[in-house]
Amino acid sequence: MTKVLTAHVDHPDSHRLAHYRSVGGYEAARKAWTSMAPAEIIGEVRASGLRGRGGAGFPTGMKWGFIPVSSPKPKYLVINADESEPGTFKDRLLIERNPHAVLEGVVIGARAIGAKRAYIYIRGEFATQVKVLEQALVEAEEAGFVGPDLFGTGEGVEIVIHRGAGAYICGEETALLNSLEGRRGYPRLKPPFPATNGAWDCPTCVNNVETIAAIPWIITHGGAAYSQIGVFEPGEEGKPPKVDSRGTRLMCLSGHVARPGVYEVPLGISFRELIEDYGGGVWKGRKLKAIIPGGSSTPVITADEAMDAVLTYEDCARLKTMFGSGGLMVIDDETCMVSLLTVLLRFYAHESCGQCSPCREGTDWLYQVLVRIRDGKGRPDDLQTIRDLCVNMEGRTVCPLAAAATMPTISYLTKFLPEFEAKVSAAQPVGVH
Amino acid sequence: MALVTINGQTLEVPDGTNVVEAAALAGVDIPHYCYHPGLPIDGNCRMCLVEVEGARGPQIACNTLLRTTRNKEGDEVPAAVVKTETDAVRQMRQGVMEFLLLNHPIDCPVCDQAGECGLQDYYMEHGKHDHRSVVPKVEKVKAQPIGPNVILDQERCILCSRCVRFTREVTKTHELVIAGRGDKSRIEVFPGTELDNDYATNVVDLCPVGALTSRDFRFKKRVWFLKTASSICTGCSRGCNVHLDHDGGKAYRYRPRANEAVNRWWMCDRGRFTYKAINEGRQRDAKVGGQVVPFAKATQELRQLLGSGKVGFVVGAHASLEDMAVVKWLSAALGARAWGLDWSEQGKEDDFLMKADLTPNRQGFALIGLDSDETSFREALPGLTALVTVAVALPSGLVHARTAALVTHAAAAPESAAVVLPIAMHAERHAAYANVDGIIQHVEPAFEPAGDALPASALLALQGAGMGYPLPFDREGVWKRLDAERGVTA
Repeated sequence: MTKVLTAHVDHPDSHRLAHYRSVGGYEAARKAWTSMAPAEIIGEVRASGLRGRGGAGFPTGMKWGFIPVSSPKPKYLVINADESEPGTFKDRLLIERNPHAVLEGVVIGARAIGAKRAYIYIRGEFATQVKVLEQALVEAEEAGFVGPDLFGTGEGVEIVIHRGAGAYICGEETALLNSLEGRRGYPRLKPPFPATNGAWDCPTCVNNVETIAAIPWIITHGGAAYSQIGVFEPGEEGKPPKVDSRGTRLMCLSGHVARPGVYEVPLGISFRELIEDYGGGVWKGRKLKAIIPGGSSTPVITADEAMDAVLTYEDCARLKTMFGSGGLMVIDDETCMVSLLTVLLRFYAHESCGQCSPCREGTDWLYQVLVRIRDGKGRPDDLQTIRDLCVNMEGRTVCPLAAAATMPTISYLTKFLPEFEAKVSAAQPVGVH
Repeated sequence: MALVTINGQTLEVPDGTNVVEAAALAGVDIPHYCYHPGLPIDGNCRMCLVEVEGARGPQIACNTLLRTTRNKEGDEVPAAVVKTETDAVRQMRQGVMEFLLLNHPIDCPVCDQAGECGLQDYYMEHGKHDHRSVVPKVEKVKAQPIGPNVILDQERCILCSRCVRFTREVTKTHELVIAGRGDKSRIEVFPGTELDNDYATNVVDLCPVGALTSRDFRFKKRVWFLKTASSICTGCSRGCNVHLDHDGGKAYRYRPRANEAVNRWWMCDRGRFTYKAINEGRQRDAKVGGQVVPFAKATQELRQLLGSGKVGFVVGAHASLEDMAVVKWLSAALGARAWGLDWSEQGKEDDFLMKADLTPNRQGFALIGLDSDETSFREALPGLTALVTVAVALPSGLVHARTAALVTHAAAAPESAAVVLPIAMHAERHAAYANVDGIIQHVEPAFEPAGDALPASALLALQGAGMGYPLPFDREGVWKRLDAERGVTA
């Protein structure tokens, strides 16, 4: 099976330039800078069918094409390495074990969109990974693979590593840009979009680490080769494709699974295969109850739903959930879903930036209601309150953090309602006033 | 121009207008907290959510900007078709109100904002939900002085960030920040600073709730007792437009009144607190020879001085255009000389609103045609038989032995004055002032002058009439003649 991102990560020196060079590293960058026009690079990426791996799944080639070439302003490429979605730890692996693939992807991407400077905004808690990445950057700069004059072209790109300060919201691309600029990490109103008004109000493309790390492979092997991996079904005449899930993805298996870890898999394999063959099945011989497919903010799906589904953006959409960031959490049959949801909501209440009223007040309120239900102090109307709050939060805020709290909440409440009802009906409510 | 349809009504608005402003033009009120025309759009309160045809989900009206839109045929079509009064919109507003009030202390009985509070108003209009949270409210800092003029109550704050944006974008002094995250977010003063800039109290006006209150006004008056007059700040030559809030013949505060050409939405704190001069140190009684006398006795004395032969008038730059005009006309009728002079101290000037000239009407001297040459006044002074001063304090060396002083404040009258007559201030009369840019601005009276005071223009016109020189003494008459004689129009 083709591995685009992790073919060499098991080598002890996989993070060093010498090893990366020995497996063909930076030859894609050379090709892109010396024999390809920016439009050709974008064309290859379009042809590959690569979709953003940060969570939204937006086609990468199209995103690059949005950067206005003719703008007199500087253009920026920003890599979102603020990986903080609970259950997601793939970018961490890439930075730790394959940092040069990330840097090479940046060098190619910068040429594609005309950026003279690129930023890698890395999660503050990634202390070790920052060191690895910085070391890799120094190596690449010294070897002339990153810098003002690349491959004798007289042009180049400067890469700046910027460390975040520990806020989940700074993974949202416009909050990230604010944070990068030294402002408070609040998501921005859209429009305008970063493609035209991003970092310092200049055209900016924000790409996820996994997305950009796939670029060297695509340039080396061609977009067509990448698009052969995974599944693709064209749509009817003039319609978008029915299935457009091409390439490989890093899936982060965690939770009640025998062999948790990061697995690079071709899109289109089944959830069953991923969990049982790759992950060794549910731990302790227990049964599967449910899975969270793409990070804690994606709606939960039941074991029955999951076992019939495959790893594609489309199958996730069919199940009214999302592929998200590839953070797949396995939930066994001894898990209390009320407790699980309460834990998730504690996270979102803690991480709401507080900018918009519904999210600022709603996330903590949801959490408080869930705490009392979990603790056997629920009130008869609490479940309705939860539903109302979700309606009042979702889609009414600047960024999707509110939805990241409400979408899973509604899915747990819908799919595991009896557990919630049992908690509430057995409760002995204790009033505050 | 862009077209927009709001609740079925289509109108034309300038390109770039947002839906909140467009709706206002259509007579539709879209509730909002964080949006303010003088500040960058922030879109955080979510109170202005409306339905826009074809949009994915509800949109905030404040950030829905309207631009000329054409269909395929090239005909102009509405940039947005907006609905603000549907059940869905009402539900959204109620939802937002519930969130905003969730951690609000609802301490209206002891809150100085009560009666002019955005939370109270919108709760009655858009909320009216029953409180259904049993969770203890988040506790934050209350009644914290954050500068010489402003007190902060973090618990009442709805984090609309107007105050933060004001210190960031308007004064560029950056004293206020939002600290913390989620529902622990709060307004704080940046460590090591206090909110002490020349425009600090504007954040009190900007604050839609009781989080920022004025240390000067706090607990002086429940606002529902206040009446409001459209007035002008007379603290400097800028002439910032203000609301003068008053009750029972007493001024309680100035609040800036929007005027794009003069002060936009703001005023300085120095000017803001000059309202106190309306209440304090006023000359209430007429005096002759230092003794309080009936008003008629004092005017009789004044007329004697006016008829004494070589009379001089000095009118100050606190006098209104009407006062200056009547002085000019009366002096001409009497064959007397009239100067426009003012010896008021200079103050701080900046590149925003504050001017060094602390008088409201110095431009009026030239407009009315008064002699502003101090040297000619000094030379003429010894030869005068009497001097009449209007709204001006003479330097001690320039007081004439037979001076009639028409003053607003007791301190302005020389001790040796033969006659002292009280005159009305801008709060107590119709008056107009020409600001530093020559913009003529009118004030409306807030209340009657206390004691015997009259507007100087009326007082002098009546004396002229008594001496056989009929002069216009009311607003209409004065402006009619000003227009005819000097082309100065209201």
